[in-house]
Amino acid sequence: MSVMKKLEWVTIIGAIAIFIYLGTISGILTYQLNTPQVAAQGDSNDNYITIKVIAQQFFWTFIYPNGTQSTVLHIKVNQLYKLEMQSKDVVHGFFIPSLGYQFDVFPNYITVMYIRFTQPGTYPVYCAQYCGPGHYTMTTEIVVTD
Amino acid sequence: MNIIHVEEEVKEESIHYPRMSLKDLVYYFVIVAVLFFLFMWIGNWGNYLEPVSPISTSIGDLYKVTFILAGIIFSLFEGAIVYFIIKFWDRGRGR
Repeated sequence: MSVMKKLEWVTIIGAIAIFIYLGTISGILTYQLNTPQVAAQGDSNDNYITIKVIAQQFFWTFIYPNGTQSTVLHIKVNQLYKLEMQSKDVVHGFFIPSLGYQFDVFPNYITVMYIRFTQPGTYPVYCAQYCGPGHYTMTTEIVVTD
Repeated sequence: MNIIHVEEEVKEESIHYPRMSLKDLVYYFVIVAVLFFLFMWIGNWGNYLEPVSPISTSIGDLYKVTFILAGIIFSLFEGAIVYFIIKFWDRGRGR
C-alpha cells in the first residue's frame, strides 16, 4: 500500500474515531444531564427543594414551597433545586445562558429541570422560544445568595 | 475507447507522487500551528462557560473537547490550503 493510500485510510479512520468519541461523550452527558445526581455533583446533600415556575406572556412567576411568589428567582448557593415548569398559554423556553442550556415550557405539561449554583451572583434568564410580540421582554434573573 | 480503458487500468504503484521535502513539511506544520493558535485564541481557548454549576462545568468541558478537535481539523485542512496557495503561487516564472 502506497503512502498516499495509507494517509487516506488514516484520514477516514481518524474522522470516524473522532465522531464516535464525540458522539459517545455527548450522548452520555445529554442522558445524565438533567438528573439530581449530576446537578448535585460534589455535594453529598442531593435533597432538592421544589419550586414551581409558571410561564405566561410575557413574564415568569416562581412559586416557592411556602406559597410565596416572585418574578425573580431567589435561591441559595450549593442547594439543589427542582424546577417544575409549566406554561399558561403558549410554548416558552427557560434559557439560562450561564448554565449553557435551556428547557422548553409547554401548556398542560410539567417540564422538570434541576439546578444548583456553586457561585453566588445574578444570572439572567431569557425566553428562548418566540412566544408573541412581547417575547423580547420576557426576561428575568436568578439571584443566588450565600 | 481502448486507450481510455488502458489508462484506467494503470496501477497505483506506477503513479509518481512528488514527495514533500523537509523544508515543505516544516512550512506546512508552521502554518498549521499558527492557524491552530489563532483558532484557539479567537475562541478564548475553548472556555465557553464559567463553572458556576456542576452542569455548566460538564457542558463547558464537552464544549472545550469539541472545540479543540474542531481546531485541529480546521488547522490541518486550512493549513493545507494556505500552504498550497503559497507553494504554487503564480510568480510569473512561466510553466
